[in-house]
Amino acid sequence: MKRLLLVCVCGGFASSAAMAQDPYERWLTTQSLRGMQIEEIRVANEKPLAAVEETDAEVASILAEVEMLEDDSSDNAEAEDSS
Amino acid sequence: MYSFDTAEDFFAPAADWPAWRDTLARHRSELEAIHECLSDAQTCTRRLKGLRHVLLKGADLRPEQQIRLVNRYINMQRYKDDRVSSTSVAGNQWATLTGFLEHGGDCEDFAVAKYFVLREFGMDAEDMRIVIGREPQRSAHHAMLAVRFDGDVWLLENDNTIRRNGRQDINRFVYAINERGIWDHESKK
Repeated sequence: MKRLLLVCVCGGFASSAAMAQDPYERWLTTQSLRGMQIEEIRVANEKPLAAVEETDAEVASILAEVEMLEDDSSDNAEAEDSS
Repeated sequence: MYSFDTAEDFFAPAADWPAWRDTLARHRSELEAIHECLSDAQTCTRRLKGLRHVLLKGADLRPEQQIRLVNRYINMQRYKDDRVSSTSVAGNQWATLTGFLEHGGDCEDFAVAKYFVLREFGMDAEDMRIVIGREPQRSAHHAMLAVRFDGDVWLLENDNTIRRNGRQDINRFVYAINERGIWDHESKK
């Protein structure tokens, strides 16, 4: 009887602690228990851009315009910086 | 193949994750400047000029074209590894769209930026999730944007590819978020 009670109390404490934990913290803890290094998920994973041309002409045209616009802005900013 | 039909994986409302909630709040506070820039080019910062062009010119495109445009446009931005500062407050924050355009970001920031731009095009939040998965070939975790579109799931990668019909480098999805919730895809494993 005592043993059963103790188990209940411990169970109660455990779930209270889990409830008090922030849900994301709880998720991190679970992931950690699964052996996953959560920091790894934040690790940058750069992929080189695939050398695939945009096949949609309208999309490609807008992108080219944006590129020119951003280049111009960048040139202007550099000119302002050096003046 | 990534699936949006994973109600059993729902973990918590998005608001329960402080870092993500903070990113969403900061983005909302920056939306005013973005919308002002859309209506008056003179108010645009250098980086917002490109975004303005994408949003105004892309407004008349079909949704499929808008997805392609956003994927390519965001992938043109600077890649910046934030691991070095991961212990700092800034390193633990996810970039807002404006912050990303100004300073660049790493893979999760690219995925988040695509999410925010597609939201500006009117894409429903329910149809998008920033997904973190495990890439076995490179033994690394990777973030991408999953878009439910045309009865399929499109995975927008930061190498300019869009994976469809289950073709993907990821063999294990770990978790996913959008502004509504967090899904833990490993909870049953």
